[in-house]
Amino acid sequence: MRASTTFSKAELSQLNGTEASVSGTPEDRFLQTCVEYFREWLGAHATRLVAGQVAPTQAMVMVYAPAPLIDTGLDAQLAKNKKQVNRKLCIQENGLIVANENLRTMVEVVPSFAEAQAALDFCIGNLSADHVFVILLMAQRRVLVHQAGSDMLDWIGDIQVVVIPEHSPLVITPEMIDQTLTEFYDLGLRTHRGVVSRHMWRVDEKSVRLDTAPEQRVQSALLIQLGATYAKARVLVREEVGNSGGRVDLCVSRFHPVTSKQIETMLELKVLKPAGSETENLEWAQQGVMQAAGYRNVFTDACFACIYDARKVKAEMAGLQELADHEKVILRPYAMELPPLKIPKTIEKVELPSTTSGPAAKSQKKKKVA
Amino acid sequence: MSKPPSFIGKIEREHLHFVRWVLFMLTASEASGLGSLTRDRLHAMLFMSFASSRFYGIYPLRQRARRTDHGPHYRAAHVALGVLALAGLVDVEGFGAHVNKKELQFEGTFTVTAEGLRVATVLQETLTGARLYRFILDLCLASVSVVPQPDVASAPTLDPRSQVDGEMDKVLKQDLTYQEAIHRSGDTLFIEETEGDRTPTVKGLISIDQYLQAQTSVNAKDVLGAYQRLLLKRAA
Repeated sequence: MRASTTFSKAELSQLNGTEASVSGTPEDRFLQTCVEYFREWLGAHATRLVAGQVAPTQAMVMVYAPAPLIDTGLDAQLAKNKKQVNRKLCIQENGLIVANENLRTMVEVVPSFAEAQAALDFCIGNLSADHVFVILLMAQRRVLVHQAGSDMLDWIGDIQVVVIPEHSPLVITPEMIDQTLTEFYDLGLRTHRGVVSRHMWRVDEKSVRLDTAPEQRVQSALLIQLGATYAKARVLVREEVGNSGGRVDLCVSRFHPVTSKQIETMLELKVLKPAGSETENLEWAQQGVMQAAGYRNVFTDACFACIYDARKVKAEMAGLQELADHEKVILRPYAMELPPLKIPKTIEKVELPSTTSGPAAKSQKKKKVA
Repeated sequence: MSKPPSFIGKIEREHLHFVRWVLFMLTASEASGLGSLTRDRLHAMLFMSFASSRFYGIYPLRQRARRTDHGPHYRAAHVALGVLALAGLVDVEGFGAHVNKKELQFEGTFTVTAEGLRVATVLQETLTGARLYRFILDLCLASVSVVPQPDVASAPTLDPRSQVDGEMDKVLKQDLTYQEAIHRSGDTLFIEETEGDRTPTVKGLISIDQYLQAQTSVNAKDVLGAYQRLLLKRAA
């Protein structure tokens, strides 16, 4: 019988309970999928963990590559003994794996590391700032995250660590999300050496400025933080928006455990620029409030406008709180400390006294740091 | 949209666009975990991509395909594969030509190379390229999400991707536009009978999008996944 070229109501009803899949850039999706795999592994090996059969220093590195079987993104000599492995076995718990964004293609490059320090040293020595990877500390339930564009030596100065809690809350409230946002800000963005902010600044002897796309960097870091914290939620990046009009948002979506009703908390992220004028920054913050309000739909329990303030002078933003109150948006300003200018190096020329005999007098240069 | 430069003719421009589309399809197939594509699977996926691209606001390169004993046929895809293989951007295994007086037809299994990945990355640096690749990658990710996970217990050393072949073919054959096209007579498989028509695939995607948005927030990728899930159920 010829099939209908439309879907019936009965067919569409089979989609009830559909959840959004991991979202964001391929790199963001990879990081979230690594957290998912880690949760699967923690569940599958719970008995071993409780019995203390997993060493506290056991670590596995997972590196992103778009097509690992074609190009691991690593030195050819390192990858010469690579072998394909399978996620569904849930036995990958050591060594270094290169994987595509959904872990459908996983290639083992290093079978094992003696302990976590060896894994970290390997990463420092063999991976670059452009690699996206995580180090899973298997018995500690901790994930060390490296985003693309973070200099390796700078990264090890302070690493973004996300914890997979043993018990994830069944009911997720806006107040809990608010608390997570505060903790994320404290660790990641309050000071210029925060685990997120340290990779956002471009500093030289004359200027301090933000790197490109600062909102996206905050979004990527917050995405994995929220995803790791709330196992019962799906944290969604609205991919269709594509930064049109400067929108950078997150949606924390979940079903109520009792009513099964869909609930969504919307977050709009804005970073105020040190190079921007007061007017430009105020308009940017106001846009954040209005865009947050614009996301509200029948599922929304709260809308947040998260304003990360990287202005040189944190002047009061007139009328912003009133606007947020009027639009019923929760306004959260987060002050970001600016880094200092780089100290210039000076060279001092030192003349040595000449001699009448022997070799001709020479000038000696001495470097001096002012 | 700005006028294209006059030193690139219309035919050459369309040829380049087709080569880009095919390269993106092979790249996205690898990036999603689907892996290498046979000639017939590639053509079926091209058909589905043309039938669904307007859901992403992307103009399809073709409004019809030729019907052959070996499934939908695009001469331009065969030419594109040849270009890509000769340029070293695509590897081909199991190459075999069909004897056909009218059409260029051959079989083979095609895999993007490391150089092909690099070129595909460069092509995504334009706005159009980025949008197009995102759509094709979403299509491939949706396909991977609906086929069941490979049975590794029975064959742990087998490339898991080969185990999804049967399910993929079922989904592609159930595509709403393809189903309408094969039941019409003639040598042509119509995707859009009149340019700009909404295909059955696009209508189906819109109906799913409206249904899901009433329940939860989803991205277009999730709608593609839901669409292929329903097709797989029809095939069961």
